Amino acid sequence: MINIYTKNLYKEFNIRGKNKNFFKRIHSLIQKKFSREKRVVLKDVSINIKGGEIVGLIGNNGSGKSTLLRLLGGIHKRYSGEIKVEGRLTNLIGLAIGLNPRLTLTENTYLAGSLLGMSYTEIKEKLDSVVEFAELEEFTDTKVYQFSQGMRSRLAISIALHTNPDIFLGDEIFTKLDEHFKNKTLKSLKEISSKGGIVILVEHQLELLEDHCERIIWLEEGRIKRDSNPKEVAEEYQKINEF
Amino acid sequence: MINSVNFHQESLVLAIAIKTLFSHVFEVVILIGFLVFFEIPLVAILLYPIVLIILTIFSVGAGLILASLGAYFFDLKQIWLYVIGGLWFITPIFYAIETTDRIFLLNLFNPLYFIVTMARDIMVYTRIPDLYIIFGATGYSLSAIIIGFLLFKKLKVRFSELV
Repeated sequence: MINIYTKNLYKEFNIRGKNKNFFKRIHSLIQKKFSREKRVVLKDVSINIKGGEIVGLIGNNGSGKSTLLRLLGGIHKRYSGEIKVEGRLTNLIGLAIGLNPRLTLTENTYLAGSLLGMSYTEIKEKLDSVVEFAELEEFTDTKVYQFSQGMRSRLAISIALHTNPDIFLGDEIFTKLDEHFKNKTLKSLKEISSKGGIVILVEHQLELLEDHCERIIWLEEGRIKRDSNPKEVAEEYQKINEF
Repeated sequence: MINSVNFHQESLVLAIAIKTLFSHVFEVVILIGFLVFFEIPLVAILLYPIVLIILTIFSVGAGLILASLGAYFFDLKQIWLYVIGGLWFITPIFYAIETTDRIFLLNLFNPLYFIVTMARDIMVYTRIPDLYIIFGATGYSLSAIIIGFLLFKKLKVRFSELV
């Protein structure tokens, strides 16, 4: 059963405190008074997402959206509370899946595919399909540094979608996409949810979330402010952020 | 990448070690050329993989230690350049030392001394290295890899928050 569940999730980061010179730092070290401050990023976050849902995650910068995705994706390993993720998960956070600009599209597909958990044989079998989905057939031997941002995004999304995830976490993946590829990606994400999977999208494009999500979770200063149907949450969020 | 993808981060260190090992193959080819030129018996080259395995184990261990500490102490990269410079001069690479030399005592704390001496004994002098050299090289390599993996395992929980 594909499911995401968190209970009283709490996450804090240590951040460097007041800037001190070298001698003061040594003094603090001896006195064991470290110039660290704690910043709470997520507090009491309890969510339950069942298979078949596409969920939007909204909130202002620094509200904890990306941190929540990183915790669900198992990237951040220190937290308090409970996290339960059931299903094969692929996360696409900021489209950074380890593409190496000095390698070709084909080489990068093998590299990123293996980082996302695909076997060599699996990548070999899916290579043509990855290239076809990304619409980059003419560039299989081109080095990625020569790609535009949009082409890189298409490649990253295509590789991530070919991992056949049960759960897909995307953080601002539509930013550099044209309308055509955006719709193509959304169609694939809907296929994941129609097969009983979960899609969580962090986005600032409210219309996109309103049109395609079953539910929007609004985070504010690390807490869930609203978790309801897209229209209601988006309207309230827009109203609050109006000037 | 570390704060975007959940993968075995040890693989980054191993990848660099394998990449360096691959480039080293070409250096070995040049070395064989010199061995032929100076009429040194080529039978010694058959024993070189032993040295290479010990060196690789040590390098992976040292790499894991440095990678772990480097994530926490950002300036380590700059400091390490000076340490490498110091090691280069202290290690008898282009000079030989005797056990009676003062620098020998210092080199007992230098893992590279044992590995370099072992390689030189086998390849250049075609003789079996002294027992303390074999134990030193093996001991330092095994210690490095054990400490490296333990340290990496302990510290990697925060890597995604630090990079």
